[in-house]
Amino acid sequence: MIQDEGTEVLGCAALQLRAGPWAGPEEWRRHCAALVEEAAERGARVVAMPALTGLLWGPGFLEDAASLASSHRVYLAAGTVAEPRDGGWAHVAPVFGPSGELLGSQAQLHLTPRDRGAGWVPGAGASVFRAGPATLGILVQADVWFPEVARALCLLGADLLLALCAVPAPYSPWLQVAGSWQEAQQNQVFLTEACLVGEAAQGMPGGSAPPGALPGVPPGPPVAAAARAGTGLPAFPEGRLEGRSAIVGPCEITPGETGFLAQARDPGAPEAVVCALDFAALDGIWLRYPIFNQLNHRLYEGRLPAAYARVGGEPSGFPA
Amino acid sequence: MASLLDRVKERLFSLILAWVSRPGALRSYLDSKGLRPSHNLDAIDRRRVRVAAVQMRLELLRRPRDYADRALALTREAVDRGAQLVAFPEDAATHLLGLLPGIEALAARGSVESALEGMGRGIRVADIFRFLGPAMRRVYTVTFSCLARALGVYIAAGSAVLPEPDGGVYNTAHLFGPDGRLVGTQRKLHLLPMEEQWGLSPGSELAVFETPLGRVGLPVCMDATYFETFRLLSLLGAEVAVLPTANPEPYNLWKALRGVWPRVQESAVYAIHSCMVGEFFGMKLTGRSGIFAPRALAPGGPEGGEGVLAQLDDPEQEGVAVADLDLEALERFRAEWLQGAGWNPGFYRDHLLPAYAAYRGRCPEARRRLGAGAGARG
Repeated sequence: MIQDEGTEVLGCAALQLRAGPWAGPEEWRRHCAALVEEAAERGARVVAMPALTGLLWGPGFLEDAASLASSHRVYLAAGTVAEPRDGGWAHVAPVFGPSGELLGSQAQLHLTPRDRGAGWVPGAGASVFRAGPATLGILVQADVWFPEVARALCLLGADLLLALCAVPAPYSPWLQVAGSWQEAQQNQVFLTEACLVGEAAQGMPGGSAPPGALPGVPPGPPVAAAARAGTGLPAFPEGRLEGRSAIVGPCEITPGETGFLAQARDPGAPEAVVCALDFAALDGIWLRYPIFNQLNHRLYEGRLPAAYARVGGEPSGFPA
Repeated sequence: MASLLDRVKERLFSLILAWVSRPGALRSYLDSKGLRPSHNLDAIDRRRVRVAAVQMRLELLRRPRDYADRALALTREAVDRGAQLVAFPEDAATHLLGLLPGIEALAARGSVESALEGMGRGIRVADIFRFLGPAMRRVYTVTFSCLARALGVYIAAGSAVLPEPDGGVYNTAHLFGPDGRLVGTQRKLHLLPMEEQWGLSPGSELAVFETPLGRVGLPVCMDATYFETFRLLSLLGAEVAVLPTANPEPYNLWKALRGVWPRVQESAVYAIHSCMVGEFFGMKLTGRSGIFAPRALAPGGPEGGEGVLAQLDDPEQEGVAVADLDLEALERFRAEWLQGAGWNPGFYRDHLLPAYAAYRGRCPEARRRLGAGAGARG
């Protein structure tokens, strides 16, 4: 059992769930529950489920997820749900504590214009959550490729980021290195990336592309489009998702200095990826090479506000 | 009395340094090489801007002409391969510590700390660069200015550790134009902890320089560890980031992937990465110089590209990597990236920027404790 009480070691799991094909919602739910159970039995105290988990689950998800967290005594980042907000829908990741209490949630912050046009609205803020010796921050989908989110969470104290993903096939190690792996390195934290894999469109419990299968959820989901943002990924004609869920840390405290502590073997198959995170070792990195000490606050305060004011609000943000 | 004698010695040595580094002698020496202008800049096509990343060995050189010869050989190799912009590594003037008599014996001690002990109590690395700085600046700037003008190309002359009028010692990148003039400079913004201990200061401004070969930014080494540098450069309009480095550790692919490559992917710029190599005062400098692009603009793109246009194989030897940049393709890519990426300026304004301020206000010596007390829920 990987234990966190009174120690600086914490068991953590990235669940690689298969979106389909499934005969119906019950099979999907059993699949999810089985992997949560396996992760907990293998010592995980923090468990991350991939994006869309709640959207595929259907009615009663929040209650069921709370029950999963409490019955296995785990902190559970339970994938994502659609939450009504500002006349549209936010793509939201709920986080539960080991007593089944809802600790809070994190909405996806970066949505493409197409997503917005389809009725999705971006989140506004970022929160961190205490979990034993760790402080959790959540990255939802495309937020993995926007370093602003991980930086903000880590400035707030996050030392374990949970990236909840559902990325179109084919799996690209380069895309992963440019995203979640990179966020762990440039912030010197642990990161757990949980990926949804399999045939999303055909295999969804509702039988259509996520999350349009769900009542009341608009089409044009942030599933593929948001994952594409800024990455050059193609369209999502087949609905196939791939990934290699991983648990990542600063190179210096990982085997072979690769940055990977554990990784799913097959980009298309389900798996519970579990390992122990040594927060004392992380402390050691911060002590020996404190890269946050070299943040150039004068530069950022002087230049970032105007630079960021250029994006988003104007058709072309580049100076002539 | 000893103090007076020391001051006399120091004054005399300064005069000697001024003499050996006099610009006229170095210019005459380079003129004697009979260099002819290349025609590399005769026709500039934004779809095919040829750039070169020079990988250079760091070693002590006692004479300015030896330094000029080294710079010339590497520049000429790049120019002969058609380069219009030639980029050198970080610490590209540090060879000129060799102007200091007896420095070889100190270098043989095997570490910077040991060498400093040999110089006397209380001396810091910055003090040495402060003393040698005027001579180093003359040799460094005259060399690269003359080479740029003589060969008719742009030269990003890496960076040089030099004293400035404000009293600080900065690690500063320099860009010379084909007329030999200094186009611009950029102080390193994020120091290694080691550099901070040495007494260097970080810069606080970031500039983009307009050239016929594109809008160029000049971040230095560790600046690429921080996404903010490249994000700012990109949003300021830079198309090409010229990044000189001198990485003091054995080469490791994964550690290398923490630098320029992800910054290029995050912020949609080209990058020219030039590495200093060699063993110097006990430090082993390594790197694989290369030219990098957003994955969609590299061979195999838009999905399959690795984002590498050219890269040297050997992390310990000198060499020159050459590739062509398509600035028009980059412009199209960035227009889509900027308009379609899904930016969230409200989040940056209301949450990211205050998070920096809050973090700075805490002045954390131990991030670990911050997590427990920073308003985490649960």
